[in-house]
Amino acid sequence: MTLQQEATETAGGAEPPAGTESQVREPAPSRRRRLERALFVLPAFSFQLTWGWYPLLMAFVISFTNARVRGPIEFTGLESYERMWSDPLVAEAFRVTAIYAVLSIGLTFFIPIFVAILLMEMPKRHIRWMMLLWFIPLSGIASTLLFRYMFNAQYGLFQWIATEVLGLEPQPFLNSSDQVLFWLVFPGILFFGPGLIYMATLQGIPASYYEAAEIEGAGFWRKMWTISLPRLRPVISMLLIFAVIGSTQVFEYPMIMTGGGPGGASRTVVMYLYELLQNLRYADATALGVFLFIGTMLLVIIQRRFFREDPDA
Amino acid sequence: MARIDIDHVVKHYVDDRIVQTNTGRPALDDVSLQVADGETISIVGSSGCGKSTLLKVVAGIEDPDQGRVRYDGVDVTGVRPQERGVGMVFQDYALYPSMKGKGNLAYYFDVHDSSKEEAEQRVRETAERMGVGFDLLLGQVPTTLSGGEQQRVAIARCIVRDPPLFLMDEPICNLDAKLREQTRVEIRKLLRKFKITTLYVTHDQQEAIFMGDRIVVMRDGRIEQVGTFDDLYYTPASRFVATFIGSPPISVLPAAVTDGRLQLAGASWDLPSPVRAAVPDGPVDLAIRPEGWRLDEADGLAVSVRHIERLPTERAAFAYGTVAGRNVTVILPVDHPERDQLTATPDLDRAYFFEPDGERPLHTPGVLELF
Amino acid sequence: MLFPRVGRKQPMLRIAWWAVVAFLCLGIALHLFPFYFMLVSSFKSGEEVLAFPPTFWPQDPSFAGWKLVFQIVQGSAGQLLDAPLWLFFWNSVQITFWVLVIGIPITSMAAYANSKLQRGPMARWSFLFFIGTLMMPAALTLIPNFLLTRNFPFALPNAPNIPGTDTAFPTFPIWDTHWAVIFPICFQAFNFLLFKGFFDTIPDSVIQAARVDGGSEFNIFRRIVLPMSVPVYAVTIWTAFSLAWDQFLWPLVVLQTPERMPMSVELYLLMERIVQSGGTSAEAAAAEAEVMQDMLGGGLSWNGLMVLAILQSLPVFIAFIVCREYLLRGIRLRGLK
Repeated sequence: MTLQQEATETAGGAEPPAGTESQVREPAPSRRRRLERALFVLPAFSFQLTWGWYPLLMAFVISFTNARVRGPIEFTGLESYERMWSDPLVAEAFRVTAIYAVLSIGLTFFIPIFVAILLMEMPKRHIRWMMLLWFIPLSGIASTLLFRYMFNAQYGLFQWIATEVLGLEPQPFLNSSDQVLFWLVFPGILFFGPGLIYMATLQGIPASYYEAAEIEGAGFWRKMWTISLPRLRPVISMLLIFAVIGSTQVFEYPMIMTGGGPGGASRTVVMYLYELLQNLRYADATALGVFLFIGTMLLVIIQRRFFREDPDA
Repeated sequence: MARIDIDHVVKHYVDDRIVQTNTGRPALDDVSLQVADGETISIVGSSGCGKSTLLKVVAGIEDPDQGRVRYDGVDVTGVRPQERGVGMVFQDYALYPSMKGKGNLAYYFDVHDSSKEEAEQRVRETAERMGVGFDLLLGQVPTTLSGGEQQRVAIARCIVRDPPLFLMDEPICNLDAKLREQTRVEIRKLLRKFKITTLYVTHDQQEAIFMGDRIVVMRDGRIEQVGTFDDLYYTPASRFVATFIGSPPISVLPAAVTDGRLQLAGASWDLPSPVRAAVPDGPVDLAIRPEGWRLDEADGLAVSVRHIERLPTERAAFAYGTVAGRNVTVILPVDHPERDQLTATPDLDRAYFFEPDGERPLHTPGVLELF
Repeated sequence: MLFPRVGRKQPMLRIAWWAVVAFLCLGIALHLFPFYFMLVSSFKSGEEVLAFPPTFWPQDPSFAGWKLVFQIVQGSAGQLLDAPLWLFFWNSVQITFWVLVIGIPITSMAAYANSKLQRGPMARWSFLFFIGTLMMPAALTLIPNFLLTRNFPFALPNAPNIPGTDTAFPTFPIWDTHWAVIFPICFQAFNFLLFKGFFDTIPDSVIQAARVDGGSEFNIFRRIVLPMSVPVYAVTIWTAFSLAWDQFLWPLVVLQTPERMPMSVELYLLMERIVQSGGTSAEAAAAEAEVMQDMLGGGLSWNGLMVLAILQSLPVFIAFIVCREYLLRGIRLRGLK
């Protein structure tokens, strides 16, 4: 009856009832399935290949050449690496970047974790607005600009706090090569994007876990240590990697706030790389990039080792 | 409606590791099954035995590694599920959360270039078939529906297209006990009414017995036995089937046969002649169902009773106890007095014999002639 | 839930609880202060923003900053900018628009395919392919990417010659166009991770049911998956938006023509022009203040820059407010697995 017809109808033209026998053949739709899958991936694949992996590969190629604006390109081996290795400005830039990275991660990375944990303690109806106000963002450029204004040694707000509120001597702030890296960390404190990720993860912990722990007699710290933090662990691990990579590549804060000064005391690796690029020293700049890459990779490997055992895996 | 042939299907699952380390046993290992037109087959087995995978292979959601699937003799292996037109109900109902009940039903027509009127009409017809109050569900989004209501929408979504084949993957196991009872009667009625070929997967043997014309018992990716309930109950193909089917389960006791006499825990009985022919001398595993015991006879075994469960509606009680350290279950009259000790004799005509520590049955009692 | 449900009346717990509340409120206040200070400064007069001690409320509220900025917007402030300010704003809008319109669909489709269509080692490889660049410092690819925009498709300073001839391969330079800014950040690996994390939590059975119903893979994606995934789209649109809107280094490197600069770079250039920051030594700071005094003749100083900073922040702010409902629901990350 009609169902029979419909069965063949819905099977459609693609599958006529011709192959009544159980012959073995590669069915056409399987190819179609593969094609559909490919169409989903292809655009992103081509973008990622062209602007992600291809430049990465070429970075290593270029660093071994004498790449310049005109003239043919020749492989010059490790020449540009040697030049960069012996450049005192490079060593200085790495020192500056390392200090900045340590300060920035030490001072800013852990705040959002604890804020997120504490925010989850608030009554349900208050969590929403408190979260919005804590994590409300400002344009990075705008906040850097604002901090430059507030750090001004003559009329800045921080100078007022230092002299009038705390009663200290007038501070040089960004004009002191000893202090400048510390103050550069501050614009980054405003960005609590990771806090949202922590909160979303904490939200996924069933309340029964905490109740069970309570019955076991666990207190505040114990619950945080045995329930909240283990759940956050994979996310913390991931964001720590991003924080390491991000802070070693810092550019816009020093660029906008100090321009690398005073006397190169805040010239980071990427700022120096940008200077090399402006001087059209492509190969040298790429070699410097490779140094940074190796340094970051070492940190990431150490970090992965540290975070290796995953409680949820 | 359709006749289904599943022909030597093998299916391995791959995990997403780059180096495939598990070359372990396949999810389906050489499974063959014929389903007649309009027949309802229950597939039962413990979790992880491959019953859901079999259903997915039949639906086309999973491609088999080897073997063929045919609908009415047409080889559909590798045909996308989109082109098969089957209906499937999932354990979690899998309703489309962004569409109202009506949208869920109409999605099939949306993607099949049917006219709006046709879709409307079919949805209306289906709502009538599904019975009283179903209209109300059509206007709601799935998240606001209860489990039972979601399940009705899911079933309606399948029958709205008049599928040639109906696949149900534990459709009622997420409902609470009372609703489950009621829903299974409804599904049964629907299946009888439309005579749609159906594969019904469940882990609950009562449900399997109730739904299926025939029952398939699966274990570790293989089909252990196919048959009616009586077949499975009285002539199990393996020790696994014997222990799996029947509730409370069959009791297995190690025994020995010498010169045609069965020795067990100090007692011994003559084997009846059909059994004697099948069971050789030596060690043997004797398996007795709860109803396979005679009470209070002189040559009986001493059963130490742990507890007694009364089932007044069945006019019976189950005594759970031990014989020689092995668990046994004995059926008693409901008014049997509570005692710590019972004397029970195995009814050797209704007993099952298995080779010791093996799967193969040596002798089964055969289907009981009730009438 | 670290605090127990019952027994909160105990004095110790009460104190601890209120300490936490106080800490959070203090944090909120500190966090909001920059917003406040920015807004207040924008309403101060040119002299007042340079006054010490700084004022927390405009002594003499004036719209000078806003007026001046809107004059630059109309292109009448002369030498300070190379083009009317609205043009830079428009550039930013265009760049961000295309990054979202191209980037979000392709990223989500790839993540969906990776989560639900691909299987086995293929899925793993593809996952690594898409997120692998997340671990590489962008500084490493800065130069090759820059050269690639110069001589697309060659990431070299010059296109190589066609073998056997003296003529170079033809190239398609997109350098100094908006496309050079847009393309490299269309596919964002972190958004891929966000999408993948979310799609992984959609039950397979829903997609299988739709397949059985006869929906093509694309139809399933559009009709079933997309409406279920509004939260994750909100999150990724927000992250992609902030990234594209606030880009700084890359447009600075790749754009040359002043009229094509986005707002973020122009804001920096304008500040450099106003502040004339040669060095940051003590004398330089004094000199800086002097230059500022000169600028005051034109009436423009930090008050005007604060106006621009507010304008630059406003879209990020609005995007956050618009997406706020979905931010927590859309993030389902499980680490780099």
